[in-house]
Amino acid sequence: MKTSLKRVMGVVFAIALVSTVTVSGPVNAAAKTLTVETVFQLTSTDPARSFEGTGNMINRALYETLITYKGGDASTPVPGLASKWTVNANATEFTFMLNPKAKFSDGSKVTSADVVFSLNRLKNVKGNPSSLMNGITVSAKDEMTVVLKTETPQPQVLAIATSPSLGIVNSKVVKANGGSDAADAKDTDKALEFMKSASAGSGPYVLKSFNLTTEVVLERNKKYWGAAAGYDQIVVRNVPVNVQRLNAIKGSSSLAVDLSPDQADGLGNKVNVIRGQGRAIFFIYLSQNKTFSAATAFTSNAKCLEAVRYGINYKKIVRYAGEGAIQAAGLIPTMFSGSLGQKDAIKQDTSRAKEAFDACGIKDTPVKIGFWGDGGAVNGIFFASVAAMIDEDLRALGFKPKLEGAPLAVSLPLYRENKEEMGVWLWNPDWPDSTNYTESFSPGTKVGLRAGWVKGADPVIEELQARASTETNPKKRAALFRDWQREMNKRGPFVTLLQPAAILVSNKNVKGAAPHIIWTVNLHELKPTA
Amino acid sequence: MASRFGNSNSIWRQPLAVVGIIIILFWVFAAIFAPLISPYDPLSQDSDKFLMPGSLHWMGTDELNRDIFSRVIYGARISLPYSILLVVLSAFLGSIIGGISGYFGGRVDAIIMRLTDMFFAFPAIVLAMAVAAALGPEIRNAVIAITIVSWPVYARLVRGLILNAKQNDYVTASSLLGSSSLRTLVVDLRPNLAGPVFVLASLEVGNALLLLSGLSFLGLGAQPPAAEWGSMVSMGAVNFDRWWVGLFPGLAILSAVLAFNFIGDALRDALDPRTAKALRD
Repeated sequence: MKTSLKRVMGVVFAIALVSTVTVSGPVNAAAKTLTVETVFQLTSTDPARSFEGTGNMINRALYETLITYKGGDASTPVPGLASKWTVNANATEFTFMLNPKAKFSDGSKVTSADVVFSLNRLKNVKGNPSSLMNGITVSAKDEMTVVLKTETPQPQVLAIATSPSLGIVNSKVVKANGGSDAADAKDTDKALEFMKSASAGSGPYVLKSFNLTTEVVLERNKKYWGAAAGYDQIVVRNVPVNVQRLNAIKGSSSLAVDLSPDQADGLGNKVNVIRGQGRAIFFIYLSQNKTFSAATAFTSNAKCLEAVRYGINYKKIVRYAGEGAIQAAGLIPTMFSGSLGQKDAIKQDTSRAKEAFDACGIKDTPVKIGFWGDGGAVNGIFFASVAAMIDEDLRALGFKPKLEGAPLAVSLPLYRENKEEMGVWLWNPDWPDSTNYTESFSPGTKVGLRAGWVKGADPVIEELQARASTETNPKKRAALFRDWQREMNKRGPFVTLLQPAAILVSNKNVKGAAPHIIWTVNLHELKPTA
Repeated sequence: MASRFGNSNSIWRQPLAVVGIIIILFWVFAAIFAPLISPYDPLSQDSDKFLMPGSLHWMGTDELNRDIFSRVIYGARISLPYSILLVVLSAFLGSIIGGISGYFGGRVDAIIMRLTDMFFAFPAIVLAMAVAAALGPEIRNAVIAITIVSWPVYARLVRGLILNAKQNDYVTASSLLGSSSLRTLVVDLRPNLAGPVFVLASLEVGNALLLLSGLSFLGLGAQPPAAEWGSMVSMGAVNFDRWWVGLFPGLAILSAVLAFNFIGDALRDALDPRTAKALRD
């Protein structure tokens, strides 16, 4: 009896084993999983509260926005939940017609009520991204039409509408789980915990599990209304950069997103290295505040500015920044409307620079150059190295530069409070539109003032700034941005240096990866190769 | 008293001490004759980068294609003099404070010693970072910062020695004869201190060098483009695939610190057998 029981158990076990092998084998092969490795910059997957890089990448796949961008582009909006949209003549009213096919992951229809709820919730929970909604009011015209209004002309609303923070949530589901869009939502909205356990969007993927420190797992949205997702599952893992590199070489990850150009060299033949442009613009500026110090009496002088502008060996800096990096021809990065081409980039002209240096009069006055010094780096570019290159070039002209790098906590306030003679810094866009640059670098604006460049300092540039901020015709806008930058390149206190590369390293069995400045990569565009 | 060079503890009889002295002499020689020894200008940049060590660049090149061998040699000009200056400054400051504390005793002593306790309680590098950040990152300020954190060791030592020496009859006699406090401290008590303070200082040079390199590593010491060992290691740490960028300056720090410690140990055995014994027990 005992033996026969054993035998039966053995047979049952064997059958079970065989069936799991035969059943799970093919299923596993078909169940395609994508692993994305990144250093987490993540707080939650609640679109109204998340404003960080990794959060944007994940939310771009879970939630959809009214309009969005395709591939690596960030200048021409394409339909998202809205199939059509119109802008009034002075850019104060933006009307979006929702796509009637759009459905949430629970199968319910996306309506204007969901959009109004989502955007008001974003505004009222007062999280990091809430400032995107500053000056914007949202209302529903009918069940399928939404209107965004601003008091002053703000053509950048279209760019803002693409931010994953403006992702549309299923209002019924979020309300049922403690969500609120009321004016006091900061205290009354309790949906954050729910939004870490599940998603309530209309995107191609849904949230399966969320762990702030290790991994976030997404699953294919089976009821997705658009083109089906390429993978059954996406695992986004928190992995240090050196391990990302190692896993890419071994071929054990699908996508690594944080490697610098130098780290992306010599990865072997299992991966594709996709180089796009990073969104940062590195620049050096000269204080225009004549009375700040002995040196600024000279740095505020047009000849000194000319000497620096034509004295820098841009080629050397670009080479240092690695493959894919380019010289910044102007302040506006290449992916935005009205960016300048390489033919507009300043070329080093040492004789012109030397002449300007002699005319400037700074000669033996030492000039301090501030920067982020304690290993400060963005896209693998170290401020200390960039400063060392500039130091060499300026010395060759006769300047007496004195580099003063410091930890960000020390150096950033000096820069922000207009207490530097010269500085090497960078700018990352607050919103993906060229107006972010005209509104931040013109005389009397945020960064303009950091360089001691007060309102009225350059009427021509200020007029171009004003015209660009209200122009709604895309072609005329782009032309205004280009003119603004060309004038800035003649007289502005900012000398643009470099736009670094942004690099995606994808396994050869993944296609469709394109670096994006807001969401790093669109996970929905990734597909397995056949 | 047996000759210092003849007795059994003589520094010259300790092989490690000799090794230490040779290493330090090497670095001193390198610092003095840096322009003659180094094949390239330590600051000159060009278009290549990260060349492997080879016949042209013995230790390879860094991210701006500066020759690492030349930079390591020139680095001795910053790291060595500044760490010695540092030790001299903190020994001087610490001895004065400790002397006052030990000689006057009572409330003065209590206050000064609690103050040194506070400094001891703080991790040196954290305190130094705070001071350097507040003063502004510059090698001079790093020296000030490290002096501020390293004087208490000397203060404590000197206080102990003074307390001990104060009880000698000749000190009492000197006071009775009407010497001022200053005269008693400087003329009568000072000679008791020289040996132990010198020993401690020689042991501390290595520490000072490490702290100084540490601050530069963190971007709070030497400024670019200066060739400083700590900041060179820092560049190596981020370019970990290019082992040569950080390895050679790291070895330079290691060798100098080790050498100073060898010498310090030997000096202690030779000059201050009592402390040596106490430390051994």
